[in-house]
Amino acid sequence: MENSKPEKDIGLIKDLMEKSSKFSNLSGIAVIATGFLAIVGASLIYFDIGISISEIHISYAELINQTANPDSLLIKLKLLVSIASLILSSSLILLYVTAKIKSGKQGIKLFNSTFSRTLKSLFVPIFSGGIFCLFLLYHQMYGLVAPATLIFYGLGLVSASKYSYYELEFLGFFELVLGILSSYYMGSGLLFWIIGFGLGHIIFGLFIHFKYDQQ
Amino acid sequence: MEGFSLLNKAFDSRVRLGLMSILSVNDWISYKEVKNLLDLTDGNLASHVQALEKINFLEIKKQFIGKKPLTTYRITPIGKNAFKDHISGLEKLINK
Repeated sequence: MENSKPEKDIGLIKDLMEKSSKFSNLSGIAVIATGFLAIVGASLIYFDIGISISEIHISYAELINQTANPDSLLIKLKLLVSIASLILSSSLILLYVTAKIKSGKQGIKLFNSTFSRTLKSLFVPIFSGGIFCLFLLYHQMYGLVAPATLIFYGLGLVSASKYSYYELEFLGFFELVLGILSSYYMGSGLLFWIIGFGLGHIIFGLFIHFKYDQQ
Repeated sequence: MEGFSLLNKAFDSRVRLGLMSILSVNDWISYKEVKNLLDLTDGNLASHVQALEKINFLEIKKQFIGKKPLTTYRITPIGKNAFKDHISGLEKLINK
């Protein structure tokens, strides 16, 4: 045992524990793409839009203050929810497929315990937040939906960061702060949304891409 | 020297030390994953795994997923304790 090098051994142990217990198969490019998707979606909603996707012209401010015809509001609302769900599901599919490809390349099964722990810590807050948002819609508190999605998403990221990239924590706190700010500046909810889901993801994706994917 | 007495000869090899590090923070984990994490070639891992199984530090499960064989490993409570002791031994040596 004379030639064992305690510092080196501890270093190796720590390194392998971390590598084997953290989910790190996100594709940076895919994260960037979800950022752009979010920006496109939110802009469609926010500007309602030069490219008019609905016949009804109701601004975001009119929506959250409910100063328009109730029937039109409802149609508009359905449109918003469908755009948001479309963006969300396509982002999730994109992230899933690219993560699957990336882990396949490394010869690792995507669905290992690390991945399920990451998913669980991410989706417990997000799922409860999602239900909460549905109730906000139900009670016609439209203005708080955007802040709530940011807050719950931020919480999910902070808790998922324990099992994944530790940098997710920064992104999580960023979303949290934006969510809290936008609860006060409620009328600008969608702008905060664009910053949080769009810009936040683009910056984080670039970071992942250059720090991890390049190797 | 108190630290030395806690060290375990079974972990002299860096492969075994690495293998135990991975197993200690995971539940059942596959041969392929371990191999990739340790950056080993085929066959290199098997002898170390067997050595650790012999002294009951880990258990091996062989099964078939469809037609593909799948070998997975898990640390035993004995292995976990031995590994913990080994780590505290290393730490004592560093902080002596």
